[in-house]
Amino acid sequence: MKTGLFSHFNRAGAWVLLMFLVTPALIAIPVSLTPKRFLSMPKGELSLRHFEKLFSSPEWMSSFFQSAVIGVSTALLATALGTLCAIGLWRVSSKYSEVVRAFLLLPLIIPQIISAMAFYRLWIPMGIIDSYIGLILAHTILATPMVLITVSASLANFDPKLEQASKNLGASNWTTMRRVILPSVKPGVFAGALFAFILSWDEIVVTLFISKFSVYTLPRRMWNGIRENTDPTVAAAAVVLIAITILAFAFSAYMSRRNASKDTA
Amino acid sequence: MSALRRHIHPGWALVAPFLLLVAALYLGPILNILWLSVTDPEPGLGNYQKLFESDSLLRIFWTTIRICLITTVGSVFLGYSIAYAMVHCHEKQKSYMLTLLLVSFWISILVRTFSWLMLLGHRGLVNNALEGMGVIAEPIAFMRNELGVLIGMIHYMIPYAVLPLLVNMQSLDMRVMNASRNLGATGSQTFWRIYLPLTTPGIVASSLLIFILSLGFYVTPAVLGGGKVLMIAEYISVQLLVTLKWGTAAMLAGLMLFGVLAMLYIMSRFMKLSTVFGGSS
Amino acid sequence: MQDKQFMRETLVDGAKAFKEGKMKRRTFLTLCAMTGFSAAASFPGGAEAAADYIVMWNWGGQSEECHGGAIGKPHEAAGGLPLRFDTSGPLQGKIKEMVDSGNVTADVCDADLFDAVALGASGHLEAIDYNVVSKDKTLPNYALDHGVSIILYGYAFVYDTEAYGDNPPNSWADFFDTAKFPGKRSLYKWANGSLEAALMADGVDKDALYPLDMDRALNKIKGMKDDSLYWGSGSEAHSMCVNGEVTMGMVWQNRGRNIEEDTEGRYKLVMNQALAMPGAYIVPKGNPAGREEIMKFIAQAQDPDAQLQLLDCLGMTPSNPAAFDGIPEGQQPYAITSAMNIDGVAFNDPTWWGENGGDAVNAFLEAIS
Repeated sequence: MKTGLFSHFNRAGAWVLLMFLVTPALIAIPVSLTPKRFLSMPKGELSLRHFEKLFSSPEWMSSFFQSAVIGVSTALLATALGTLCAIGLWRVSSKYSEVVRAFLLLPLIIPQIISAMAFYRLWIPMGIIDSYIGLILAHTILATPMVLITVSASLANFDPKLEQASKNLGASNWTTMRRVILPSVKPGVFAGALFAFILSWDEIVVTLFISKFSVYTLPRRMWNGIRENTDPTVAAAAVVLIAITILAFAFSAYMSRRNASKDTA
Repeated sequence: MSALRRHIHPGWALVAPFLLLVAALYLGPILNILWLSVTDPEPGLGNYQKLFESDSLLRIFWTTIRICLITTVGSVFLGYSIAYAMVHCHEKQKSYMLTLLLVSFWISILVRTFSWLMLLGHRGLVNNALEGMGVIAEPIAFMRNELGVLIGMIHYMIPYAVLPLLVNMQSLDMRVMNASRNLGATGSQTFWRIYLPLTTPGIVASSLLIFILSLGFYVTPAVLGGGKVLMIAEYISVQLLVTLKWGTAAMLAGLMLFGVLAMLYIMSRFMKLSTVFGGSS
Repeated sequence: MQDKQFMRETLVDGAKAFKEGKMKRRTFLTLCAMTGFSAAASFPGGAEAAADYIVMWNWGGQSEECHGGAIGKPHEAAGGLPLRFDTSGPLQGKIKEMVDSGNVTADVCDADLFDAVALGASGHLEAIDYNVVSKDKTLPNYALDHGVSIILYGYAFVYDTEAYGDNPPNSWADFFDTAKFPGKRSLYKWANGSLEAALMADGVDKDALYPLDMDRALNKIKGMKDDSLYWGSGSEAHSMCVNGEVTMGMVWQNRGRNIEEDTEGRYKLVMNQALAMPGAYIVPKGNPAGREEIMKFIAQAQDPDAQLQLLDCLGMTPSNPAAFDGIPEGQQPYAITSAMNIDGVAFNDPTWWGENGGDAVNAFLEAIS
């Protein structure tokens, strides 16, 4: 199709829109550099005092730490459960397995406020409100469907004959899984793990309900800061979060490029 | 054992751990909530009756649906434009566009909401800039109203709208469009008569996705709405934490759940659910 | 239930013994395993809250240093346990959840007196022991079965002196009169105070507010909807005034002074018809430090000196009549029970709010949205 005037116009519009998507978040950068004690744009002079405050505050640091622990645990658990589940469903491949797959994707799509309510309701009698276990379990249930999706996508490109060949050559089920299936779905597993981590790292709605004070994640602290709306430390935290997002993104892009170049080699 | 094995595929053993986890710790309490909606504070349909007795509950529903609809239309329209541009440009430009899209996709909702607070406030950057340029004399109320909620939500939803559309557009056979042009149709005719109808599944899928995600949205309305925009999600949280009316909350959650499942069903007829999240693209 | 309590006590004693080095780690872990608790879950939080500290559950902010100095220090000096804080905010739902979950980690909640009515009725609170705590050291209606008022805070309003130079507003009627006093207003988002203010503006006498006429109040509020903003936290109310978003703003009276200072006197506090709210200490059922200990703590908080210190530190007004005369000159215009203000103030009825608060908040939220 020839590119008409409309297409040119639309392309310019799309660039503007994409800028509109990314740039607003960047306002946190100047705000975090304000020398003042309240939220404001810096005029002239810049200061790193709010970053200093962020990194020397035991509260913020413990929130970073707790979010990292919960995020990593969630990513590990969700990746293990999700990968197994995806391989299982792939091997069953019947009409039941598709129904089960749809069912297992529900935690991802059911509105989070309902999930929050469900966890809140059950975690109280179980006594795991406001504990690492409670948060990791809840986040794992929400994040595993992500892994299920990414691993399933990798499996879709996997040739089942390879599995058969491996078995014909005398490999056990376990060896086949370890040596043949897992390596070929590796990109899906990595992507899933990353998604699961980010989901947990960024989760707020469920966290608001099932955490109180002994577990106080980063989003929870941000949320409080936003509601209080006075302390520029929040802006500094936002900048750190943006930096982490961009790093994670660059890392995953690098990984997928490396995988792609290995495939073509 | 072997008889059992013939009936049950061994692959289920791998599915079982997560399946059990979801059934016990997720489905269980959700069913319990549905049960609550007809038993708390007293057995019967009292909670559902409130819907017809109270104008205000209906109004909260209406506010929610109105905001979700506007968000859906807005973000799918803008998302369509982005997806279209991405499909029809050079590989290199496309990968830059995809990078921007995904970066914004992954930036924390809290960071974005915070940024909007800085930008849209009474003394925010946007108002200051407009006043500085002499465009306006008085600051415009961009937030603590529906406008603020819509800006925040559409901004958040656009990447979600783009991904299903992108999958759909990439799968189209461009030869059909070329054939149309060769047969003498103009560019706009080709677009309206051929291209747009072919992308309908993508449009439907992304619309439903956005609508579902918007329905349960909590953070943006709570912060940018300033109390004036009460949507179901925030109302539910008030019932749980402040006024302790689990029954009402359960009723609203039940209705929301029913709506979402119905929409998922419609959506599943247009597109594989998993493609929506960009997993298999 | 009994069993669970027993196990917890065993465990808590074990944890203390372990901490003091009387028990080996392995023995303690075995004990934990036997009682079905994980060491991580019971050791740091549970054991400390159980016996070594009084945990006050409040909304954080400066109140830590203030309550610590005014009540915690003297209480400790008198042989009581030291004071610690949980600053996550004792919402009614959260208190209920804590008691229902059987894992009570707070001893005293810095809450509202109407919370005492609502949660006391549902059995989630310890009764106040009026052999230790004194009914005479608070206002007559503010010593209830499950909670006692220590300090008062209030809903008053500030106005922009530059907007209404010669003829300043002086009542809620003026506040709601946007024709005579044009400009934006701000109200509290969770109904308290806003409803009472609307009724007073509509001509209800300040001593005849309860039971609240909801329809009348909501109509008044709806009438001003287009000119209103709503705030959920004290800092939000503060910034609405400091940023000039509103020309009159309802505020917590103890914030009034800050607003006057931060705007260099441009905004001025009006205390006439302010609504006094009884802040209360309430005790979750089964509090770890025990009922006896916490009652002594509450009695300590009734001391006039402690209350005057809180006034100085937080701007919270004493509820103990013995402290009224001690309110210093500089605080007279801002304190609710100062000789200067007490006659113009309306008093909140916690019983009405405890019984009807849930419905009132819902109706209010629905009306303003």
